[in-house]
Amino acid sequence: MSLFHAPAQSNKEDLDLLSDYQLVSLSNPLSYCDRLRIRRPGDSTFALGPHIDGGGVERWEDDAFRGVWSNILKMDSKGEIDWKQYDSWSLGPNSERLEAETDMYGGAGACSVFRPLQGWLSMSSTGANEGTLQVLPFLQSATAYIILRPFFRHIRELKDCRGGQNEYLAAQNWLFDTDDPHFQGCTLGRNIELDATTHPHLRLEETMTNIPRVEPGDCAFWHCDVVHAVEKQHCGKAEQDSSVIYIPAIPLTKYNFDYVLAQTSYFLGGTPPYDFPGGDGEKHHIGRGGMQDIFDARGQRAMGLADFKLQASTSKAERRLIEACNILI
Amino acid sequence: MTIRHGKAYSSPTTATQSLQSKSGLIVSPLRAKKRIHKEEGTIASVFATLSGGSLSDALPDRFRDLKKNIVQTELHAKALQKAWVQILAQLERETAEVIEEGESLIPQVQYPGDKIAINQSLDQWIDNETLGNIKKRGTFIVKGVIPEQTALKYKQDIQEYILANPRTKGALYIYFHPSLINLIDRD
Repeated sequence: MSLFHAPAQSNKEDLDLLSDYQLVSLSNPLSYCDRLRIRRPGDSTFALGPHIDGGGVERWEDDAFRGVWSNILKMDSKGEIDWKQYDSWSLGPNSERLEAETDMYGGAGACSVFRPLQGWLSMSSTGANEGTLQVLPFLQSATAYIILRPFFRHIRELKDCRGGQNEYLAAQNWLFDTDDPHFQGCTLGRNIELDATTHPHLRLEETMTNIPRVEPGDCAFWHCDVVHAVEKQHCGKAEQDSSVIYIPAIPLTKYNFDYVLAQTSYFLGGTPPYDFPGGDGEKHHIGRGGMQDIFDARGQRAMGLADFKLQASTSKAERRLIEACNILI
Repeated sequence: MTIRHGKAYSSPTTATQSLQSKSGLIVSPLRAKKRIHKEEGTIASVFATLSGGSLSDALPDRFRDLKKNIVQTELHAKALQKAWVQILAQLERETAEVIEEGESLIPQVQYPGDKIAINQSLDQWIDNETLGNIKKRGTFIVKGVIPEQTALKYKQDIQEYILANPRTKGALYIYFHPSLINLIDRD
Protein backbone atom coordinates (compact mmCIF):
# COMPACT_ATOMS: atom_id res chain seq x y z
CA MET A 1 0.00 0.00 0.00
CA SER A 2 3.01 2.27 0.23
CA LEU A 3 2.87 2.26 -3.56
CA PHE A 4 0.13 4.82 -3.18
CA HIS A 5 0.57 8.42 -2.09
CA ALA A 6 -1.77 11.07 -0.74
CA PRO A 7 -0.78 14.48 -2.08
CA ALA A 8 -3.53 16.23 -0.14
CA GLN A 9 -2.06 15.43 3.23
CA SER A 10 1.58 16.03 2.46
CA ASN A 11 0.97 19.76 2.24
CA LYS A 12 0.95 20.82 5.88
CA GLU A 13 -0.81 24.17 5.51
CA ASP A 14 -3.87 22.62 3.95
CA LEU A 15 -4.25 19.95 6.60
CA ASP A 16 -6.76 21.93 8.64
CA LEU A 17 -9.02 22.10 5.63
CA LEU A 18 -9.30 18.34 5.50
CA SER A 19 -11.86 16.49 7.55
CA ASP A 20 -10.93 13.30 9.33
CA TYR A 21 -12.65 11.45 6.49
CA GLN A 22 -10.10 12.68 4.00
CA LEU A 23 -7.10 11.31 5.83
CA VAL A 24 -5.32 8.05 5.24
CA SER A 25 -2.54 6.08 6.83
CA LEU A 26 -1.14 3.72 4.28
CA SER A 27 1.24 2.11 6.73
CA ASN A 28 -1.40 1.04 9.21
CA PRO A 29 -3.33 -1.80 7.69
CA LEU A 30 -6.81 -2.78 8.77
CA SER A 31 -8.26 -6.16 8.06
CA TYR A 32 -11.26 -6.47 5.82
CA CYS A 33 -12.73 -9.92 6.03
CA ASP A 34 -12.95 -11.18 2.49
CA ARG A 35 -13.56 -14.52 0.91
CA LEU A 36 -11.67 -17.44 -0.47
CA ARG A 37 -12.09 -19.35 -3.70
CA ILE A 38 -11.56 -23.04 -4.33
CA ARG A 39 -12.07 -23.98 -7.93
CA ARG A 40 -12.04 -27.58 -9.15
CA PRO A 41 -11.02 -28.66 -12.68
CA GLY A 42 -13.91 -28.52 -15.13
CA ASP A 43 -15.60 -25.86 -13.06
CA SER A 44 -16.50 -23.06 -15.42
CA THR A 45 -19.27 -21.57 -13.30
CA PHE A 46 -16.74 -19.48 -11.52
CA ALA A 47 -15.28 -17.90 -14.67
CA LEU A 48 -15.53 -14.16 -14.46
CA GLY A 49 -15.17 -12.01 -17.55
CA PRO A 50 -13.01 -8.88 -17.61
CA HIS A 51 -14.18 -6.35 -15.05
CA ILE A 52 -13.06 -3.71 -12.59
CA ASP A 53 -14.23 -3.73 -8.98
CA GLY A 54 -14.89 -0.80 -6.69
CA GLY A 55 -17.61 1.06 -8.52
CA GLY A 56 -19.34 1.02 -11.91
CA VAL A 57 -21.21 4.05 -13.14
CA GLU A 58 -20.29 5.74 -9.84
CA ARG A 59 -16.95 6.56 -11.45
CA TRP A 60 -18.70 9.28 -13.38
CA GLU A 61 -21.83 9.90 -11.39
CA ASP A 62 -20.31 10.53 -7.95
CA ASP A 63 -18.68 13.96 -7.74
CA ALA A 64 -15.72 12.84 -5.65
CA PHE A 65 -15.11 9.73 -7.70
CA ARG A 66 -15.25 11.77 -10.90
CA GLY A 67 -12.69 14.09 -9.34
CA VAL A 68 -10.17 11.23 -9.32
CA TRP A 69 -10.08 11.44 -13.13
CA SER A 70 -9.66 15.23 -13.36
CA ASN A 71 -6.53 14.94 -15.49
CA ILE A 72 -8.49 12.86 -17.98
CA LEU A 73 -11.81 14.67 -18.00
CA LYS A 74 -10.95 18.30 -17.33
CA MET A 75 -9.04 20.84 -19.33
CA ASP A 76 -5.86 22.25 -17.86
CA SER A 77 -4.95 25.94 -17.87
CA LYS A 78 -3.94 25.67 -21.53
CA GLY A 79 -7.33 24.29 -22.55
CA GLU A 80 -5.87 20.84 -23.17
CA ILE A 81 -6.52 17.45 -21.63
CA ASP A 82 -3.15 16.44 -20.18
CA TRP A 83 -4.13 12.82 -19.51
CA LYS A 84 -0.50 11.70 -19.22
CA GLN A 85 -0.41 13.53 -15.91
CA TYR A 86 -2.92 11.10 -14.53
CA ASP A 87 -1.34 9.06 -11.74
CA SER A 88 -3.16 5.84 -10.86
CA TRP A 89 -1.23 5.64 -7.59
CA SER A 90 -2.29 9.04 -6.31
CA LEU A 91 -5.28 9.20 -4.02
CA GLY A 92 -6.23 12.41 -5.79
CA PRO A 93 -5.17 16.05 -5.30
CA ASN A 94 -7.92 16.35 -2.67
CA SER A 95 -7.91 12.71 -1.58
CA GLU A 96 -10.90 12.08 -3.83
CA ARG A 97 -10.36 8.31 -3.62
CA LEU A 98 -11.16 8.38 0.07
CA GLU A 99 -14.41 10.26 -0.38
CA ALA A 100 -15.56 8.52 -3.53
CA GLU A 101 -18.91 6.82 -3.23
CA THR A 102 -18.33 3.52 -5.00
CA ASP A 103 -21.71 1.96 -4.33
CA MET A 104 -24.63 4.27 -4.96
CA TYR A 105 -27.14 1.55 -5.70
CA GLY A 106 -26.65 -1.05 -2.98
CA GLY A 107 -25.02 -3.62 -5.24
CA ALA A 108 -24.86 -7.16 -3.82
CA GLY A 109 -21.14 -7.51 -4.37
CA ALA A 110 -20.06 -3.94 -3.82
CA CYS A 111 -17.34 -3.11 -1.37
CA SER A 112 -17.96 -0.07 0.80
CA VAL A 113 -14.38 0.30 1.96
CA PHE A 114 -11.63 1.79 -0.15
CA ARG A 115 -9.32 -1.01 -1.29
CA PRO A 116 -6.43 0.45 -3.23
CA LEU A 117 -4.96 -2.96 -3.88
CA GLN A 118 -6.69 -6.31 -4.28
CA GLY A 119 -4.80 -9.48 -3.71
CA TRP A 120 -4.86 -13.11 -2.83
CA LEU A 121 -2.65 -15.79 -1.37
CA SER A 122 -2.41 -18.95 -3.43
CA MET A 123 -2.89 -22.32 -1.76
CA SER A 124 -2.24 -24.25 -4.94
CA SER A 125 0.11 -24.46 -7.89
CA THR A 126 -1.78 -22.73 -10.68
CA GLY A 127 -0.79 -21.66 -14.17
CA ALA A 128 -2.33 -21.08 -17.57
CA ASN A 129 -5.49 -23.02 -18.44
CA GLU A 130 -5.91 -23.97 -14.83
CA GLY A 131 -8.39 -21.32 -13.79
CA THR A 132 -5.92 -18.60 -12.96
CA LEU A 133 -6.16 -14.83 -12.74
CA GLN A 134 -5.92 -12.81 -15.94
CA VAL A 135 -5.17 -9.10 -16.11
CA LEU A 136 -4.84 -6.29 -18.59
CA PRO A 137 -1.25 -5.42 -17.67
CA PHE A 138 -1.12 -1.65 -18.09
CA LEU A 139 -2.89 1.11 -16.23
CA GLN A 140 -2.63 4.70 -17.43
CA SER A 141 -3.89 4.59 -21.00
CA ALA A 142 -6.39 1.83 -20.18
CA THR A 143 -7.93 3.96 -17.42
CA ALA A 144 -7.96 7.07 -19.60
CA TYR A 145 -9.70 5.11 -22.33
CA ILE A 146 -12.27 3.60 -19.99
CA ILE A 147 -13.12 7.03 -18.56
CA LEU A 148 -13.53 8.65 -21.98
CA ARG A 149 -15.21 5.72 -23.70
CA PRO A 150 -18.78 6.72 -22.82
CA PHE A 151 -18.27 10.00 -24.68
CA PHE A 152 -17.48 8.39 -28.01
CA ARG A 153 -19.39 6.19 -30.39
CA HIS A 154 -18.38 4.45 -33.59
CA ILE A 155 -19.63 5.65 -36.96
CA ARG A 156 -19.46 2.34 -38.79
CA GLU A 157 -20.09 -1.02 -37.16
CA LEU A 158 -17.36 -3.64 -37.34
CA LYS A 159 -19.36 -5.74 -39.78
CA ASP A 160 -19.64 -2.76 -42.13
CA CYS A 161 -15.93 -2.03 -42.14
CA ARG A 162 -14.32 -3.41 -45.26
CA GLY A 163 -10.97 -2.73 -43.68
CA GLY A 164 -11.93 -5.03 -40.82
CA GLN A 165 -10.86 -4.35 -37.24
CA ASN A 166 -8.19 -1.81 -38.19
CA GLU A 167 -10.75 0.38 -39.90
CA TYR A 168 -13.24 -0.11 -37.08
CA LEU A 169 -10.77 0.91 -34.38
CA ALA A 170 -9.28 3.86 -36.30
CA ALA A 171 -9.84 7.26 -34.69
CA GLN A 172 -11.69 8.50 -37.80
CA ASN A 173 -14.40 5.96 -37.09
CA TRP A 174 -15.15 7.47 -33.66
CA LEU A 175 -17.21 10.54 -32.91
CA PHE A 176 -17.66 12.58 -29.76
CA ASP A 177 -21.23 12.15 -28.51
CA THR A 178 -23.21 13.10 -25.41
CA ASP A 179 -26.66 12.11 -26.63
CA ASP A 180 -26.47 8.48 -25.62
CA PRO A 181 -27.14 7.58 -21.97
CA HIS A 182 -25.03 4.41 -22.24
CA PHE A 183 -22.02 4.03 -20.02
CA GLN A 184 -20.53 0.97 -21.63
CA GLY A 185 -20.23 -1.98 -19.32
CA CYS A 186 -22.23 -0.35 -16.54
CA THR A 187 -25.61 -1.24 -15.13
CA LEU A 188 -26.86 0.18 -11.83
CA GLY A 189 -25.59 -1.55 -8.71
CA ARG A 190 -22.89 -3.51 -10.42
CA ASN A 191 -19.23 -3.15 -11.19
CA ILE A 192 -18.04 -2.35 -14.71
CA GLU A 193 -17.75 -5.30 -17.09
CA LEU A 194 -15.74 -5.02 -20.27
CA ASP A 195 -15.63 -6.93 -23.55
CA ALA A 196 -14.88 -6.55 -27.26
CA THR A 197 -18.10 -4.59 -27.80
CA THR A 198 -17.92 -2.23 -24.86
CA HIS A 199 -14.18 -1.50 -25.03
CA PRO A 200 -12.91 -2.66 -28.42
CA HIS A 201 -9.64 -0.71 -28.37
CA LEU A 202 -8.43 -2.71 -25.37
CA ARG A 203 -8.53 -5.83 -27.60
CA LEU A 204 -9.40 -7.85 -24.52
CA GLU A 205 -9.73 -11.15 -26.31
CA GLU A 206 -6.02 -10.94 -27.08
CA THR A 207 -4.67 -8.82 -24.24
CA MET A 208 -6.10 -10.43 -21.11
CA THR A 209 -2.92 -12.02 -19.84
CA ASN A 210 -2.50 -14.91 -17.45
CA ILE A 211 -0.39 -14.09 -14.45
CA PRO A 212 2.72 -16.26 -14.22
CA ARG A 213 2.41 -19.63 -12.47
CA VAL A 214 1.97 -19.32 -8.71
CA GLU A 215 2.84 -21.91 -6.06
CA PRO A 216 1.22 -22.34 -2.64
CA GLY A 217 2.43 -19.42 -0.52
CA ASP A 218 2.77 -16.94 -3.39
CA CYS A 219 0.62 -13.80 -3.51
CA ALA A 220 -0.77 -11.82 -6.40
CA PHE A 221 -1.72 -8.14 -6.11
CA TRP A 222 -3.42 -5.76 -8.47
CA HIS A 223 -4.32 -2.08 -8.37
CA CYS A 224 -8.03 -1.43 -7.87
CA ASP A 225 -8.45 -0.11 -11.45
CA VAL A 226 -6.83 -3.06 -13.18
CA VAL A 227 -9.12 -4.90 -15.60
CA HIS A 228 -9.05 -8.50 -14.41
CA ALA A 229 -10.78 -11.81 -14.99
CA VAL A 230 -10.70 -15.40 -13.90
CA GLU A 231 -9.84 -17.81 -16.70
CA LYS A 232 -12.77 -19.56 -18.34
CA GLN A 233 -11.35 -23.02 -18.29
CA HIS A 234 -9.84 -25.03 -15.58
CA CYS A 235 -8.35 -27.88 -17.56
CA GLY A 236 -5.91 -28.99 -14.94
CA LYS A 237 -5.45 -32.52 -13.68
CA ALA A 238 -8.37 -34.02 -11.79
CA GLU A 239 -6.83 -33.77 -8.32
CA GLN A 240 -5.57 -30.23 -8.82
CA ASP A 241 -7.65 -27.35 -7.61
CA SER A 242 -7.03 -23.66 -7.98
CA SER A 243 -7.42 -22.20 -4.51
CA VAL A 244 -6.83 -18.74 -3.17
CA ILE A 245 -7.59 -16.69 -0.09
CA TYR A 246 -8.34 -13.05 -0.74
CA ILE A 247 -6.06 -10.87 1.33
CA PRO A 248 -7.93 -8.69 3.71
CA ALA A 249 -5.71 -5.65 4.26
CA ILE A 250 -6.98 -2.16 3.62
CA PRO A 251 -5.40 1.18 4.57
CA LEU A 252 -6.42 3.06 7.67
CA THR A 253 -8.94 5.74 6.83
CA LYS A 254 -11.65 7.08 9.07
CA TYR A 255 -14.35 5.47 6.99
CA ASN A 256 -12.56 2.13 6.77
CA PHE A 257 -12.02 2.23 10.50
CA ASP A 258 -15.73 2.78 11.16
CA TYR A 259 -16.36 -0.21 8.93
CA VAL A 260 -13.83 -2.39 10.74
CA LEU A 261 -15.36 -1.59 14.13
CA ALA A 262 -18.68 -2.82 12.80
CA GLN A 263 -16.97 -5.82 11.21
CA THR A 264 -15.34 -6.70 14.51
CA SER A 265 -18.65 -6.75 16.30
CA TYR A 266 -20.01 -9.01 13.54
CA PHE A 267 -16.91 -11.15 13.93
CA LEU A 268 -17.66 -11.68 17.55
CA GLY A 269 -21.26 -12.59 16.60
CA GLY A 270 -20.40 -14.69 13.51
CA THR A 271 -22.61 -13.11 10.82
CA PRO A 272 -21.22 -11.70 7.57
CA PRO A 273 -20.12 -8.05 7.54
CA TYR A 274 -22.64 -5.79 5.86
CA ASP A 275 -20.70 -5.57 2.61
CA PHE A 276 -21.58 -9.17 1.92
CA PRO A 277 -24.89 -10.79 1.09
CA GLY A 278 -26.84 -11.36 4.30
CA GLY A 279 -28.04 -14.48 6.03
CA ASP A 280 -26.82 -16.30 9.09
CA GLY A 281 -23.34 -16.85 7.73
CA GLU A 282 -21.19 -18.74 10.13
CA LYS A 283 -23.16 -18.12 13.29
CA HIS A 284 -23.67 -21.81 13.84
CA HIS A 285 -20.36 -23.06 12.51
CA ILE A 286 -18.03 -25.27 14.43
CA GLY A 287 -14.47 -24.05 14.78
CA ARG A 288 -15.31 -20.47 13.89
CA GLY A 289 -12.52 -18.11 14.78
CA GLY A 290 -12.70 -16.05 17.92
CA MET A 291 -10.66 -13.68 20.03
CA GLN A 292 -8.05 -16.32 20.81
CA ASP A 293 -7.10 -16.47 17.13
CA ILE A 294 -6.05 -12.84 16.84
CA PHE A 295 -2.74 -13.63 18.32
CA ASP A 296 -0.81 -10.43 18.57
CA ALA A 297 -1.01 -6.66 18.80
CA ARG A 298 -0.76 -6.10 15.04
CA GLY A 299 -3.68 -8.43 14.44
CA GLN A 300 -5.68 -6.77 17.18
CA ARG A 301 -5.00 -3.28 15.80
CA ALA A 302 -6.04 -4.44 12.37
CA MET A 303 -9.38 -5.49 13.82
CA GLY A 304 -9.92 -2.22 15.67
CA LEU A 305 -9.43 -3.87 19.05
CA ALA A 306 -6.28 -2.10 20.15
CA ASP A 307 -4.95 1.42 19.80
CA PHE A 308 -2.85 2.31 16.81
CA LYS A 309 0.62 3.33 17.77
CA LEU A 310 2.14 6.66 16.93
CA GLN A 311 5.76 6.65 15.96
CA ALA A 312 8.28 9.42 15.63
CA SER A 313 8.01 9.12 11.88
CA THR A 314 4.21 9.33 11.81
CA SER A 315 3.14 12.28 9.71
CA LYS A 316 0.95 15.00 11.15
CA ALA A 317 -1.96 13.85 9.04
CA GLU A 318 -1.64 10.25 10.12
CA ARG A 319 -1.26 11.32 13.72
CA ARG A 320 -4.58 13.13 13.61
CA LEU A 321 -6.28 10.20 11.96
CA ILE A 322 -4.86 7.72 14.45
CA GLU A 323 -5.94 9.86 17.37
CA ALA A 324 -9.45 10.12 15.96
CA CYS A 325 -9.63 6.36 15.62
CA ASN A 326 -8.10 5.50 18.98
CA ILE A 327 -10.84 7.49 20.72
CA LEU A 328 -13.36 5.05 19.33
CA ILE A 329 -11.79 1.82 20.51
CA MET B 1 -24.31 2.66 10.75
CA THR B 2 -21.30 2.50 13.00
CA ILE B 3 -20.72 1.06 16.42
CA ARG B 4 -19.37 3.29 19.10
CA HIS B 5 -18.95 0.90 22.03
CA GLY B 6 -21.01 3.24 24.15
CA LYS B 7 -18.49 6.06 23.96
CA ALA B 8 -19.41 9.50 22.75
CA TYR B 9 -17.61 10.41 19.59
CA SER B 10 -16.27 13.89 19.20
CA SER B 11 -13.60 15.25 17.00
CA PRO B 12 -11.99 18.61 17.59
CA THR B 13 -12.20 19.59 13.97
CA THR B 14 -15.52 18.32 12.74
CA ALA B 15 -17.85 17.89 15.74
CA THR B 16 -20.09 20.83 15.11
CA GLN B 17 -19.16 22.12 11.72
CA SER B 18 -19.51 20.52 8.37
CA LEU B 19 -16.49 21.27 6.25
CA GLN B 20 -16.45 22.30 2.67
CA SER B 21 -13.62 20.31 1.18
CA LYS B 22 -11.54 21.48 -1.75
CA SER B 23 -13.42 19.23 -4.11
CA GLY B 24 -16.59 21.11 -3.18
CA LEU B 25 -18.17 18.39 -1.08
CA ILE B 26 -19.75 19.06 2.28
CA VAL B 27 -18.18 16.59 4.65
CA SER B 28 -19.74 15.90 8.01
CA PRO B 29 -18.35 13.86 10.92
CA LEU B 30 -20.24 10.70 10.04
CA ARG B 31 -20.36 10.32 6.30
CA ALA B 32 -23.94 9.37 5.49
CA LYS B 33 -23.33 6.49 3.10
CA LYS B 34 -26.33 4.42 2.18
CA ARG B 35 -26.60 1.22 4.16
CA ILE B 36 -28.91 -0.86 2.11
CA HIS B 37 -29.41 -4.28 3.62
CA LYS B 38 -28.17 -6.84 1.18
CA GLU B 39 -30.02 -9.99 0.35
CA GLU B 40 -28.23 -13.28 0.75
CA GLY B 41 -26.80 -13.80 -2.68
CA THR B 42 -24.47 -15.56 -5.02
CA ILE B 43 -21.71 -14.31 -7.27
CA ALA B 44 -24.21 -14.21 -10.15
CA SER B 45 -26.10 -11.39 -8.55
CA VAL B 46 -22.96 -9.28 -8.67
CA PHE B 47 -22.26 -9.58 -12.36
CA ALA B 48 -24.81 -8.40 -14.94
CA THR B 49 -23.70 -10.97 -17.48
CA LEU B 50 -23.98 -13.87 -15.04
CA SER B 51 -27.51 -13.00 -14.01
CA GLY B 52 -29.03 -12.89 -17.47
CA GLY B 53 -28.59 -9.19 -18.08
CA SER B 54 -26.78 -7.72 -21.00
CA LEU B 55 -24.06 -5.14 -21.13
CA SER B 56 -26.00 -3.15 -23.68
CA ASP B 57 -28.92 -2.40 -21.30
CA ALA B 58 -29.29 1.36 -21.38
CA LEU B 59 -29.18 3.47 -18.26
CA PRO B 60 -31.94 5.94 -17.41
CA ASP B 61 -32.09 9.20 -19.35
CA ARG B 62 -30.53 11.18 -16.55
CA PHE B 63 -27.20 9.68 -17.59
CA ARG B 64 -27.42 11.58 -20.84
CA ASP B 65 -27.79 14.73 -18.74
CA LEU B 66 -24.79 13.64 -16.70
CA LYS B 67 -22.65 13.52 -19.83
CA LYS B 68 -23.87 16.93 -20.96
CA ASN B 69 -23.09 18.26 -17.53
CA ILE B 70 -19.56 16.91 -17.61
CA VAL B 71 -18.83 18.33 -21.07
CA GLN B 72 -20.59 21.64 -21.51
CA THR B 73 -18.59 23.51 -24.12
CA GLU B 74 -17.42 23.00 -27.67
CA LEU B 75 -13.90 23.79 -26.51
CA HIS B 76 -14.03 21.02 -23.94
CA ALA B 77 -15.40 18.56 -26.50
CA LYS B 78 -12.57 19.38 -28.89
CA ALA B 79 -9.98 18.92 -26.17
CA LEU B 80 -11.45 15.52 -25.35
CA GLN B 81 -11.43 14.50 -28.99
CA LYS B 82 -7.76 15.39 -29.22
CA ALA B 83 -7.01 13.39 -26.08
CA TRP B 84 -9.03 10.46 -27.42
CA VAL B 85 -6.91 10.30 -30.56
CA GLN B 86 -3.73 10.32 -28.47
CA ILE B 87 -5.09 7.64 -26.15
CA LEU B 88 -6.07 5.38 -29.05
CA ALA B 89 -2.56 5.70 -30.44
CA GLN B 90 -1.06 4.80 -27.08
CA LEU B 91 -3.41 1.85 -26.76
CA GLU B 92 -2.30 0.55 -30.12
CA ARG B 93 1.29 0.46 -28.86
CA GLU B 94 0.44 -0.98 -25.45
CA THR B 95 -1.86 -3.71 -26.71
CA ALA B 96 0.68 -4.75 -29.34
CA GLU B 97 3.33 -5.06 -26.63
CA VAL B 98 1.05 -7.13 -24.42
CA ILE B 99 0.11 -9.45 -27.27
CA GLU B 100 3.79 -9.89 -28.08
CA GLU B 101 5.26 -10.27 -24.59
CA GLY B 102 2.42 -11.81 -22.58
CA GLU B 103 2.92 -12.85 -18.96
CA SER B 104 6.60 -11.92 -18.91
CA LEU B 105 5.45 -8.32 -18.52
CA ILE B 106 4.08 -8.98 -15.06
CA PRO B 107 6.72 -8.22 -12.39
CA GLN B 108 7.57 -10.85 -9.82
CA VAL B 109 9.45 -10.19 -6.61
CA GLN B 110 10.71 -12.49 -3.92
CA TYR B 111 9.26 -12.00 -0.43
CA PRO B 112 12.16 -10.63 1.65
CA GLY B 113 11.07 -12.24 4.91
CA ASP B 114 8.72 -10.99 7.61
CA LYS B 115 11.22 -8.75 9.34
CA ILE B 116 11.92 -6.63 6.26
CA ALA B 117 8.37 -6.75 4.94
CA ILE B 118 6.91 -5.56 8.23
CA ASN B 119 9.47 -2.88 8.98
CA GLN B 120 10.18 -1.52 5.53
CA SER B 121 7.93 -0.24 2.79
CA LEU B 122 7.93 -1.90 -0.62
CA ASP B 123 10.11 0.75 -2.16
CA GLN B 124 12.84 -0.02 0.32
CA TRP B 125 13.35 -3.61 -0.79
CA ILE B 126 12.34 -3.44 -4.44
CA ASP B 127 14.67 -1.86 -7.01
CA ASN B 128 13.57 1.25 -8.91
CA GLU B 129 13.12 -0.44 -12.26
CA THR B 130 10.89 -3.16 -10.85
CA LEU B 131 8.96 -0.59 -8.88
CA GLY B 132 8.43 1.40 -12.07
CA ASN B 133 7.14 -1.73 -13.77
CA ILE B 134 4.79 -2.49 -10.91
CA LYS B 135 3.33 1.00 -11.16
CA LYS B 136 2.97 0.79 -14.92
CA ARG B 137 1.54 -2.72 -15.04
CA GLY B 138 -0.58 -2.41 -11.92
CA THR B 139 -0.13 -6.11 -11.14
CA PHE B 140 2.62 -8.07 -9.46
CA ILE B 141 3.42 -11.38 -7.83
CA VAL B 142 5.22 -11.81 -4.53
CA LYS B 143 6.85 -15.24 -4.35
CA GLY B 144 7.13 -17.16 -1.12
CA VAL B 145 5.11 -15.00 1.27
CA ILE B 146 4.44 -18.01 3.43
CA PRO B 147 6.10 -21.42 3.19
CA GLU B 148 4.51 -23.77 0.70
CA GLN B 149 3.70 -26.35 3.38
CA THR B 150 1.93 -23.76 5.51
CA ALA B 151 -0.26 -22.69 2.59
CA LEU B 152 -1.13 -26.30 1.89
CA LYS B 153 -2.00 -26.75 5.56
CA TYR B 154 -4.37 -23.75 5.35
CA LYS B 155 -6.12 -25.40 2.45
CA GLN B 156 -6.40 -28.63 4.36
CA ASP B 157 -7.79 -26.81 7.43
CA ILE B 158 -10.38 -25.11 5.28
CA GLN B 159 -11.42 -28.30 3.53
CA GLU B 160 -11.84 -30.04 6.90
CA TYR B 161 -13.87 -27.08 8.11
CA ILE B 162 -16.17 -27.30 5.09
CA LEU B 163 -16.64 -31.03 5.69
CA ALA B 164 -17.50 -30.39 9.33
CA ASN B 165 -20.05 -27.77 8.35
CA PRO B 166 -22.00 -29.18 5.39
CA ARG B 167 -24.63 -26.42 5.32
CA THR B 168 -22.06 -24.02 3.91
CA LYS B 169 -22.99 -22.85 0.41
CA GLY B 170 -19.73 -23.55 -1.34
CA ALA B 171 -16.35 -22.07 -0.55
CA LEU B 172 -17.43 -18.50 -1.07
CA TYR B 173 -19.14 -17.96 2.22
CA ILE B 174 -16.59 -18.80 4.85
CA TYR B 175 -15.47 -15.56 6.39
CA PHE B 176 -13.95 -16.17 9.74
CA HIS B 177 -12.00 -19.37 9.63
CA PRO B 178 -8.99 -19.27 11.94
CA SER B 179 -6.46 -19.49 9.11
CA LEU B 180 -7.92 -16.34 7.52
CA ILE B 181 -7.47 -14.49 10.78
CA ASN B 182 -3.87 -15.63 11.04
CA LEU B 183 -3.26 -14.02 7.67
CA ILE B 184 -4.20 -10.55 8.90
CA ASP B 185 -0.63 -9.86 9.86
CA ARG B 186 0.66 -10.35 6.34
CA ASP B 187 0.34 -7.06 4.57
